[in-house]
Amino acid sequence: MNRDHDSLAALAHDYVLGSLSDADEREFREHLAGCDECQRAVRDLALVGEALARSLDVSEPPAGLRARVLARATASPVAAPAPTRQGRATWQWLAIAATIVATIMTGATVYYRSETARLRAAGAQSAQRIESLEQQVAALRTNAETAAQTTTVLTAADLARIDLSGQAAAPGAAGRVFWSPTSGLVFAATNLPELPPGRVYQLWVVADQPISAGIAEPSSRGGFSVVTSPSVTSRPKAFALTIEPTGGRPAPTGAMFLLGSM
Amino acid sequence: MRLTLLRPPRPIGFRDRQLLHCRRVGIRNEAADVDAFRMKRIAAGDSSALAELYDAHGSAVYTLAHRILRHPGDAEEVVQEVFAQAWRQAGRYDPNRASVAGWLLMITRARALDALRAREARPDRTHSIELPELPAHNPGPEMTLLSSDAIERVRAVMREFDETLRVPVELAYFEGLSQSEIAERLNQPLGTVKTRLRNAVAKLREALNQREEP
Repeated sequence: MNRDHDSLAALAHDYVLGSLSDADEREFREHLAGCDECQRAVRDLALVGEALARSLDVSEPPAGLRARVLARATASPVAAPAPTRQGRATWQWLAIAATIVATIMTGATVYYRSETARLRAAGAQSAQRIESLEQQVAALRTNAETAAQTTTVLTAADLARIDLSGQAAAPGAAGRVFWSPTSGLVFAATNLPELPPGRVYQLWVVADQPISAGIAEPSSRGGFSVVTSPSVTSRPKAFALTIEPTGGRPAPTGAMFLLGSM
Repeated sequence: MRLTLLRPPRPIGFRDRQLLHCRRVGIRNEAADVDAFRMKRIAAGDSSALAELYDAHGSAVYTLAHRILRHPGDAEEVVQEVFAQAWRQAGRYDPNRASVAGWLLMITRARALDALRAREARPDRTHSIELPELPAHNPGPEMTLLSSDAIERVRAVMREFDETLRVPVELAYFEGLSQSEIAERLNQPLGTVKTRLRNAVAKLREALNQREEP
């Protein structure tokens, strides 16, 4: 049975409050789609509800609640309406971060073990060998620190992602910066041209002026990466990668290979 | 060359970026669009935007949950659910239907009433409160954003109401009772409750729609 307008319009209030029966709610929704007057009423009534809620005397939430809210919410993935290029959720990046950490740790551990075993088997106990091994251990420790730092950045609450695109010097190259104002940055790039001898890639945080974020280190799979906490006092506008003489320079001098703005 | 791992002296916020974005898309109401942009950032998985959302609306969300449940622990649980839902469903938020604050408070009311029912274990009302799907509209000069003056006018009207008007409104909004449940609770005829609630809400709408003093 179709009801007249007035008897349907009388349902608007209970509709906004969610207290209609399923059948009434279905009927009202159908009516609402084609009725401007009821649409206005529903919007007004929703505003009345909001105003009532906001006119309450404020109860301040306990201080610890903020951290619990953020931890619990971000533990679940974001459901984006449609997959977009920008839409990759944090948890996916966390999975990537975990892979990076695991790769560094596994690779280093395997190398350390096999190297030790090989030296034992060969019985080559020369001082030189031991020194080399100690260097490997130091490198391993650095790798572990890098892995920990990577995790800290990628799990930071204020993480932002900036895509860097290849410039004229390397149109096919691409990079990505994960930037946390509080924890630092992680940078990774692929398809960069091989460096000529005596040259390095240097990463810049462009704030008021470019500040070095460090030399990009070649990774095992042909890419380059930087993990650091640059001392930046103003809001970064962009990130850039240039080619510089070995050791890097305090300000960029060479050609720009990658650029991405915030 | 290894760089020393130094922390920057102070965190850099995203507010400037948001405001820049608002200006670019030509938005009239800055606060509303900062909020809408936050929802986009949340939908893209930016957890710092969620932190900003909590800082902006956490107190209002907690206040409403606390008013409905009258229990700090239960209210905290609801606040956590609300922001978890905002995080998961940010992509579904439509700025043409409701302000972000309005949307969050609708979710809060629904979740808090669900919790109230679960606590009271009322077998007759086990289905969860549905969020009303608000019709979309192009915000005109009267943007669907409540000014603090409008909220103050509503507070004043509620203060002026006598019990016969105020109590049905509170039972409907903060306890989620239907009109017949209110009639039963107050031991009044359904017709009386309907009339009083209609009159009360009409006065509240009127207070809300009053022209702002220049």
